Amino acid sequence: MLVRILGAVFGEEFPAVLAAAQGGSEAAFTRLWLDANPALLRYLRVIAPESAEDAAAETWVQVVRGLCRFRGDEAAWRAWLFTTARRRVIDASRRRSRRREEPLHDAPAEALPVAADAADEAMERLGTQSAIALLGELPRLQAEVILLRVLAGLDTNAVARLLGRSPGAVRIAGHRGLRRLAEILARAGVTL
Amino acid sequence: MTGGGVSGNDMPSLPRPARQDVSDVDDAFLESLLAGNGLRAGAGAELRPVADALAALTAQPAGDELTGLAAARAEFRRRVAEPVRVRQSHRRRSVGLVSRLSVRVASAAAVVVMGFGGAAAVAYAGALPSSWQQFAHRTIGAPAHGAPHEARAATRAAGSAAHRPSSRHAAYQGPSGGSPASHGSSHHTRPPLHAAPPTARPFIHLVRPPIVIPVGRWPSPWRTTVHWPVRTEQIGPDASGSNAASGRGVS
Repeated sequence: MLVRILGAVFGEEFPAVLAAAQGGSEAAFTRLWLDANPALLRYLRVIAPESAEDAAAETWVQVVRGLCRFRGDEAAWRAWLFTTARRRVIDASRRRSRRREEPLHDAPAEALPVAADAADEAMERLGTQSAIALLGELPRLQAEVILLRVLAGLDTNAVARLLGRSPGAVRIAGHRGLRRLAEILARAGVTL
Repeated sequence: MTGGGVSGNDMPSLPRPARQDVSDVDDAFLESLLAGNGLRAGAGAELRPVADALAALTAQPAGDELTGLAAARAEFRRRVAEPVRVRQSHRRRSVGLVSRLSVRVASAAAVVVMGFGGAAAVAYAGALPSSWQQFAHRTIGAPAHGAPHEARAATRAAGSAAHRPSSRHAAYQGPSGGSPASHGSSHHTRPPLHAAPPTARPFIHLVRPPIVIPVGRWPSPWRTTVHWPVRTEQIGPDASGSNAASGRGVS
């Protein structure tokens, strides 16, 4: 059974919580943050594992700046939050690409990242971090579609708008991602 | 796959995980997983690990996922809470200022209106000091200073500058004793100068220098005389000789 940590968390209560946060209530903002940040961080750990925490912090700075101007329901709020996070990641990757980077073959062996086998790790403990690592094995689009649909609770059309793809392409990418995930888990010997 | 010269039997027999064909999984089951509805009944066992992985993905947050709250709250206080508080205090202050200003402006306007209204009433009653009365006479058509009561009444009744000549004609009535109506409407009929009895007290006599406008080639009696502007002369009991001069303009 899925335990949702983001999605229809507030429900009918969302407009009041949002209005209170926009009116300066720190308690209301804390509720929004507590409900959204874990999912946001997990999404960022898949699409930007090296700078997820920084990207999350920058995302909240942006969200706080635009909080009083935001208008919309809970789904729009989630879409705005993840759109902001995705743009932060894209901006950060552009900044990194402009910097001169040291080639990997020049780096000492002990400095190279040790990549654990995500499937093996998942076999040991199918926890949240293992699931994140598993999704990191997927192509970027498939992983993003699965994360945005499962973590953020967005429907196909919202994800399509967020990613700039057609709903059909998003649907296909999601299905392919799940099939590929099933293949990875089956290859690792997970049979229930 | 073996290289050249190596038989296939030389390759070790490695155990391989059982591959399950997931390509035939119905899209409806996948869509149910993506929508967060869990594994639907009838779904194959090959999707069970996927459902578990997604459940782990949406598990309750761990401690390290809540560490950025203090920074976010500080940013919120700086960007939202403080500006909102400042805006609210400014709004309250501005509302109070506007109400106080409104009361003051309304009071000042009432005082000004009452002052002007009262001054106008006094001016039409002819009770202002001479210089002020003259000013009121020029600006709002109040009776001139020294005008008799009847002239003031006529001015009050008539109103404005269209009847100023009447009030000026009324100045004749003092010495002549005629009625304002008999002289105010016709500028031809000036009081006979000889009828003005010399009095012991000098008085101001308004004299109009005539402007003669010939109308066509009509004879002299048909000329029209327009009196404008007004000139004043002092006429006294011993100034009877000047009466002849004041008779200029009668055509």
